Amino acid sequence: MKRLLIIVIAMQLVAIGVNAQDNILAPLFDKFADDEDFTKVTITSKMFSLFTEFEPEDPETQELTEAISKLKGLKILASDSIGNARSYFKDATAQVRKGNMEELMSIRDGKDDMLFMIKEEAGKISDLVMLVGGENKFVAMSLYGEIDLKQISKISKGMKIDGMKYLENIDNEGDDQE
Amino acid sequence: MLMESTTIRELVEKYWNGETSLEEEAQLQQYFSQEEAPADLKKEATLFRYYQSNTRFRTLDERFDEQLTQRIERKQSRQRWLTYQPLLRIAAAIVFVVLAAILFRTEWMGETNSVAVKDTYEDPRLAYEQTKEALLLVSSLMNEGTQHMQELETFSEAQETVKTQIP
Repeated sequence: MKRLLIIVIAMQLVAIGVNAQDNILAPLFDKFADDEDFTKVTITSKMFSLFTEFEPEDPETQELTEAISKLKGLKILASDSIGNARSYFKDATAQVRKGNMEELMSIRDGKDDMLFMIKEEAGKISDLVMLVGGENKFVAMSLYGEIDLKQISKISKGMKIDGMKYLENIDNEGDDQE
Repeated sequence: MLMESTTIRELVEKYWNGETSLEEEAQLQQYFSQEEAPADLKKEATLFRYYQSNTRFRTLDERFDEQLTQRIERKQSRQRWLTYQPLLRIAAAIVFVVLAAILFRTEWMGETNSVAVKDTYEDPRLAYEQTKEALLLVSSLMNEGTQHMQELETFSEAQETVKTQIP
């Protein structure tokens, strides 16, 4: 009886642990779930499965379409108007580094910090976490599915986009579409 | 004693079978206490002589009652503990159910929560656009990063060439 109970409790703890490992950014998202300062975007695999219906046959965006078709989920947490963005970035960095991900690169460009973390399994990247921290902006993005870094890198090569400037408008552009 | 060894042997056999009467046992005892037993009855001789010398087997010890009651009490106290066992079981069951409920709730709430939060967009087209933008952002930021690294690389390459050219 006691032994059974212990086993069951252990299993439950394991289940909770597994659950917690599901997404490394999940705690962050939960933390800011009700925070109006943040833009939160979550796109699930179910939604991704619907994308196939209207994939445009545009050769210019072919790389993009292909990259998207391999994804299974997307989470974005972003704000460009918070005071202590740097501390958010630090916290998030510490959180992500605690997980079982590898660092792809970390960049400091002027006042902006960037961190890319990946999870690789059998030569394929299954998770990509990007953290950006600036003076008053903070972005946490998590991509999962099958991620081809070369392909992702190609996406923006054709188009001249300044990522940081682009980032400053991410909130507004999101609003435009809603 | 004039008892014949054959009778003794019979008695001994009866004794081992547990069929002897008290009198017969007394007879045996007497025999073994007096006579030099034949070689094959040495074992029994020792045993009966021991019985003779040890009266402890006849009369109950003074402490017998005391020890007996002690044992009974000990057993009873264990039984008293055993009467609590159903309660313990119930308690364990409650703990189990509560734990299961908590787990289920967190799981379930998490599910519903994420269903509520899950898809920010209901229109797949909007979601698609957002994904596109997100990927563009990741891509451009990543390229910026690698660009920096390439710059660094060319810098270190330049350094190398400088080093090799100036001995």
